[in-house]
Amino acid sequence: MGVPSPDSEILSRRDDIIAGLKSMLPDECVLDSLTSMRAYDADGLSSYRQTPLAVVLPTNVAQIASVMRWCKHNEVKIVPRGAGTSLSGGATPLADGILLSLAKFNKILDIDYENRCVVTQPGVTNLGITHAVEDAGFYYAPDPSSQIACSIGGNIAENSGGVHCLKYGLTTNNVLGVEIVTMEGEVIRIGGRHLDSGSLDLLGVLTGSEGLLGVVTEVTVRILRKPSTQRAMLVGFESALDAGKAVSDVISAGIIPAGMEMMDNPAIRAAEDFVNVGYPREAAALLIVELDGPSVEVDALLESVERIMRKAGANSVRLSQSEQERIDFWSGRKAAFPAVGRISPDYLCMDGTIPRKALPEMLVKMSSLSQQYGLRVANVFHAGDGNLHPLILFDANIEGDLERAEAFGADILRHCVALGGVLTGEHGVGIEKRDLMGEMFNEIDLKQQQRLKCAFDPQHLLNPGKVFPQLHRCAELGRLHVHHGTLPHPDLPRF
Amino acid sequence: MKLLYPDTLESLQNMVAEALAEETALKIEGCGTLDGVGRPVNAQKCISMKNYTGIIDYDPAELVLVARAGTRLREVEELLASENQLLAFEPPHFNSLYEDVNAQPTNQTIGGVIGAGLAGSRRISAGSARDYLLGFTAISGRAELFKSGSRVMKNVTGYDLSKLMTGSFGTLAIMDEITLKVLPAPEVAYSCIVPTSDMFAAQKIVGQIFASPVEASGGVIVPVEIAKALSLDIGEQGAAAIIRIEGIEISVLDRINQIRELLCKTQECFLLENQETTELWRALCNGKPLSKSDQIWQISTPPASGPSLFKAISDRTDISGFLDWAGGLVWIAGKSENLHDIIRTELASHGGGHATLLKADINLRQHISVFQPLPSALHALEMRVRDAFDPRHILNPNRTLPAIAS
Repeated sequence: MGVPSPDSEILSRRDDIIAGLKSMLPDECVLDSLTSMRAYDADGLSSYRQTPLAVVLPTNVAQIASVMRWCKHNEVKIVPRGAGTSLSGGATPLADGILLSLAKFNKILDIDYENRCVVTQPGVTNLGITHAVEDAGFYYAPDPSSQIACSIGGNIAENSGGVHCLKYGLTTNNVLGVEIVTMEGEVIRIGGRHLDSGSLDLLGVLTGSEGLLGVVTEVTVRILRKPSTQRAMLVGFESALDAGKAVSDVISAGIIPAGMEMMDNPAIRAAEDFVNVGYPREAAALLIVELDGPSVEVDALLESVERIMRKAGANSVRLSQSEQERIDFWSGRKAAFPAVGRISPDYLCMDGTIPRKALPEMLVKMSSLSQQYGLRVANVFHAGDGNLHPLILFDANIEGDLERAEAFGADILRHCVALGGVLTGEHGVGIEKRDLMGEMFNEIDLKQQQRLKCAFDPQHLLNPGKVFPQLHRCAELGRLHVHHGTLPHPDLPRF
Repeated sequence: MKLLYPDTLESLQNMVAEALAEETALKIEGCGTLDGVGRPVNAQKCISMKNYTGIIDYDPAELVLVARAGTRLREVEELLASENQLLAFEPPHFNSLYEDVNAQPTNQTIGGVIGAGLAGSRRISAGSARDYLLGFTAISGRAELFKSGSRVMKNVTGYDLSKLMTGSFGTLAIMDEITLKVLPAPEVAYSCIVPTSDMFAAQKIVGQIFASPVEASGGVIVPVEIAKALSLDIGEQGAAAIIRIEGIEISVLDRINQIRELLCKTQECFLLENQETTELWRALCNGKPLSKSDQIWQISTPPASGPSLFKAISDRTDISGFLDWAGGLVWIAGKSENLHDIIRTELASHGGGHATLLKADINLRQHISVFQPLPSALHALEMRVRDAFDPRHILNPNRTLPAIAS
């Protein structure tokens, strides 16, 4: 892991670069002292810290466009940053790159109830959008755990999910339009308040592109009317395998809950000790199932869900009887990360996805890996969509512990891929999973993705060192090797 | 034009490799149902995917189906129905629209559905084809086999190329295997029909319902002549709002009551039950009321702009049509030679969006921009993206060629 080694030629030009930036931006929008840049030296993947060359905090789109144009001309790298909550190192700075913070783009521009959408600047928080529309009975559906802090621009970059994406989708399913500034300094608008694109779906590919294709300067998202009823069910199981099966049984019965979460015993205990809301401390696994909609529907479906749970072997079922109780049920799950933080000096949060039916097999594998590495693991899952968040507990003060935890995490992700799953469900590749991309993609797949990058940023100036294990020069990627009538790669296996 | 029928991955890849080596253009099609969409392709060879068929895997509990690109949509839908599941984006069957071109009825392929990015009335509540393509394998214009995505519900590993493939009309790559997310089918479906004075009033009602917790799965606004064509009796009124409610029965009935309360009993509302509802929405998704017209447009615009855009166009020329997606999808059929000019200028001043010529004779499609013209910077970017997949422009060249907006 880590970022590419800095270019000494760029470092030697630091003073000129800062002078260049100050010629385009007001002085207070350029930070270049070590003290002032300290707050920006890491994102949510805080084991990796790096002071950037400089930090810029532009206040309008024209400033961003001129900074980017200037950086392209001067071959200076840029790392965009929203709220810096990425768990995969998407906003980890580069020693020889400028950190471009969107923090000052913090205004909601328009609330359009007629078309049920909100137009906002990218630095507004995810929850800020819901707060702006909740008085009228609306909300913005994707709800990553960091929603109080994470920015909507960062959500676009990472295609963030949350506990309710089982029913309501990820960011990509809820965004209607963006304005981006390209590395060339061009301002491009894609989509708007209408649905879909009349041409290539560039909006779809920008979402989740981890800041490698453009800098998002405006976002249009759809908002939904709050459901009239939301109720949650807490279900305890003596066996995690039974709980895993119960999750599949609910979906097989044709029920798509708003959210269906699972915690294993270490996570249950840590959360219960932290929030005291009555989680069954002895249970091997706990499911939280939430249904929303008209109350008659919620009640009817909860009855079906309860039947399925009991049949699958549940030994405790509690139904929220009030809005406060529903919130309490969730509080332990939402506080799972800090709760685990209390029982271990450090932890690594992983983020693979597997087919739901592979959950029991994955749990067995995880506990054997835990023994192999001698490190404890607590599990929280978005079980409904097969998205795992194993929290690997370690102590960074113990020599070699971080490396061991990382190796453990990498093995978990490799196993996710082996089971037909993926490296990351919602946190992004960043620098964290970059070197594992080869587990999921072959060289041709990765080169094809990088050709897309070349269409946006042929010099690899925008957030380089993220996502791809190896950077190929665009000229090399564009080359075609054709022999008459024969395949370009006859020796490669077909699948 | 020489017709090629690959039925294995090797044969498909060899055909593209050969075309690449010779730099010959390839027309790419499924069974040709959507041949009438987009600019005509001038190519020496045509790769038809009609024999590239087969459902590779269907796992109802995982909500996943994998099929080869030439598999018929009908076959996929029948298999899903046997497990009470469906394609939630409700892909239209456009064979009825193009019967006079050269389509064989009911032969529409799943590759065609994804390639054209088709979605029906449930687009507004459930999403489009783009939202259900979990992953794919394909042969690029470089004759290379590549994959993107996966078969799990939640995945952000690498760029989401599934989005780019959806709606690219075979201009980036030829899809091999397509992995789709499927969903449980609703237990029942009811339509609630509210006759109103005009389309503006109907759109207000639909908008009000979509802004309520009713969770409607479709909202259509029809003028009286379309209502008649659909055999809906709306009496003396000039238009109607049609709302679809789906789910478990107890919930659907409860939500219909909510709609009645929202209408404050001032507005009459009549219901259609399951069978009639299925038929009605099938007709709406497929554009059936307009299918006899020679020139049909689909315009995506902000929902509240739908009625004024429709009126602005109809004030200038004789058209028929209706609004889907709660007002955000404007269907227009007309004859006027300058209809495209009228549509593009009125769209620019009424909410914006994009207009696509869905059906027209080959001459018209050759001479006007079938898809929405793009601003120059976006156009240049899009061209570079296309080159990243098909550098020699051998796949369906010009089919979607966007014009540059002046």
